[in-house]
Amino acid sequence: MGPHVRVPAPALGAAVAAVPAGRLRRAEARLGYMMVAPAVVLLALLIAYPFLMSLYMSLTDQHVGTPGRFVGLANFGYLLRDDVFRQTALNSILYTVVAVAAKTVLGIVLALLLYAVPWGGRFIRAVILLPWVIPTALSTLAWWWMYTPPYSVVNWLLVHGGVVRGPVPWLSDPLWARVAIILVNVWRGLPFYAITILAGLVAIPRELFEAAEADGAGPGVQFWAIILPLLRPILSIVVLYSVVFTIADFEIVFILTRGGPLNMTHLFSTLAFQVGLVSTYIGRGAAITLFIFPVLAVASFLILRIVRAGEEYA
Amino acid sequence: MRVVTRRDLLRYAGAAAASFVVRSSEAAGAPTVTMLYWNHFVPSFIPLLNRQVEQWARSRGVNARVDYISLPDMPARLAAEAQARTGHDIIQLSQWNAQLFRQELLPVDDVVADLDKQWGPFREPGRYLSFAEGHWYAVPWHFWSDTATINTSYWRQIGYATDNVAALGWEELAAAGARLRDAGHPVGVAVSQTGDANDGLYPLLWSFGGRTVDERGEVVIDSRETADSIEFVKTKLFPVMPREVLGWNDASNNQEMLSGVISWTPNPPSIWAVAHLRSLPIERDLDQVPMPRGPKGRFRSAYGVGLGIWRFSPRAQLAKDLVRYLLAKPQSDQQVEASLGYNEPFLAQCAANPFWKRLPVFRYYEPPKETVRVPGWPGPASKGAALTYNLFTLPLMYAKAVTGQMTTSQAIKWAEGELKKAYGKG
Repeated sequence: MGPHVRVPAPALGAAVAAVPAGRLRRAEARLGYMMVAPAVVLLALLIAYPFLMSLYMSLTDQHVGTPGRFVGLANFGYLLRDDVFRQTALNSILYTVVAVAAKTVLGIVLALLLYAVPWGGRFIRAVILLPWVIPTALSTLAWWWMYTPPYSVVNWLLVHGGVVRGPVPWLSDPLWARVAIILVNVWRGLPFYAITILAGLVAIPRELFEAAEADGAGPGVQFWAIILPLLRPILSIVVLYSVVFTIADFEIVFILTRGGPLNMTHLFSTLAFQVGLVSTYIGRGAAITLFIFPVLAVASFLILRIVRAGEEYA
Repeated sequence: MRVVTRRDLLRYAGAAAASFVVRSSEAAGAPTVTMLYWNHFVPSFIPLLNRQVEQWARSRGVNARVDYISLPDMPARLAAEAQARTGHDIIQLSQWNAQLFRQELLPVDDVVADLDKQWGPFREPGRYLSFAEGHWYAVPWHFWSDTATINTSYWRQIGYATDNVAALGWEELAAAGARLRDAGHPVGVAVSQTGDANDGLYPLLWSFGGRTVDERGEVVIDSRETADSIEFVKTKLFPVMPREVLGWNDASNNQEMLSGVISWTPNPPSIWAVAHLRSLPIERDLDQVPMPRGPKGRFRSAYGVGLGIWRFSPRAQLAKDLVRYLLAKPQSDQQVEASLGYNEPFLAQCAANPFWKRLPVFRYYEPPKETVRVPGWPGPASKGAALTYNLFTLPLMYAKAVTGQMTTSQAIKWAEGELKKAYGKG
């Protein structure tokens, strides 16, 4: 699309023609700036100000209620030497990579199933969205009940279904606790993936499938040669969005494990809460949250490169 | 259905507007004193507190309101109010918060002196938590503390009456715990990242003679006594507990006890209170006993609650008056009853309440048989103590050792490093 869409207006034609093109462009630019100004101000207030504030706080030894002194990068240096923080960084990356990968694969599978469903599609889509719609704190509390030993319905099913011999230590074993929080994240995020990917699937012209079928391409070939390349832009955006929200996750860990056992499920946000708010080391807490930023920057860069590659392909 | 006429509509609208004007003028005429308090574990306490605050407001011709939030939300709320320098007049200051927020708190020496003279003295750890650099920054109100909740029927099955359980030391508890485990009703102390783990394991460490820091805040965790306590947990206590204690949260032991699974766990009397309020059949089997004795004594961990007033409160004098009123013995006696004995007043004369003698379940709760201390003792009630508690350094030390992730000496060295960082000694 070109930079400007002009609607011909015969009555004004002569007057418009009389205005020099440069002046008209400047007037349009001014109008454009005016129109985006409210959004820019809103973004500055809601995003830039808190971000700059936390950047400032991370460079101080501020405690809640005290102004704090400028300490440069001391907080960051402290954290990089801190075992608990290093474990937290590792947990956050592992949690994000595994959860996003699982949601991507399962999201595609679920979208394909929904695409193929012959009847009741709307109803099924509405039901599938429920985990995403229910407040996370509420659904995570339900998961806590399902995992916790005296009432664990998950363990009951696994034991009575003959899948395991004894109850799984969901929240008390480092490995299983990680599995438990990732499972809840995947359960919660999957509907968003599936519905968004389904929208992408529906937008693919049917002629492509018909042509592929005429050429003798089976479902596998159609998936790899048509569906996946054409879904790449939308998939990349969904993955980017999901990476942002998964790495910044808080409620699931806070409710299920509080970062335990042995700090094996702490994420940046839960550790920042413990250090910054509960213990009032707000400068250090701000520094912890800022470590999310470089991780997200790298992820965004990589994912947006894939989007552009997808656009070129499409 | 009656049709609403234009005249009716005007009349209703006029009445609504008039009531709004009257309410606004009421609010504008009399100041409103606000107070922030937590959603008490014992629900019957909240209506009583509301009633007492309303009575005080009526007697002074002002308005007053208590806002309740959950305990985990309290740090964020206090932080927000301190940063924004606006909020409630009176705030609940738990544990070390009077020390942590003291730059934004009004000294309340006059209120403490008045109450001390009339109903005192203040019991420990009230002063420890609220007094710093020559001033009181909170008025110590009440604390709750962890004795052990037991299921008497399971203990009877292995031949122990409640008084026998009350006399146990840690070693004997572990020995009896093996039989209880075999009977399907193990004992349980949280060894996880939760407040209950701190409140169960600090007394254990103290009773073996171990300390995290000394009086000057120097880190002294690396000791023979600490090693003995870890070895005890690793070889005797942990093997008789369910492995799930590694993942317990603050509600876990309550649920396990109320479900009839476990037989002994450190907790304030809230488990009994829930059973009592809900008329659960298990109430008759529940009892409270002192924490076990160790080689160096018998200790109990306390969670102190004080009331503070922000420096920026525009109604500081009224706020002080409300605090004086709430902590006076007549109100305090009602509070002990309404909280079902959960609130243990810091003021000695208020603590001398017949309530605890009336119900047998409280005979070991108040007055305490153990030495009552706050995690971080005997060091200063400082940011270091708060950070150590909030990052669960002590439970993690035990967890690392019992799971085999570290040897005993490695776990102590790890905890020593964490403590040095927390206390700024690293």
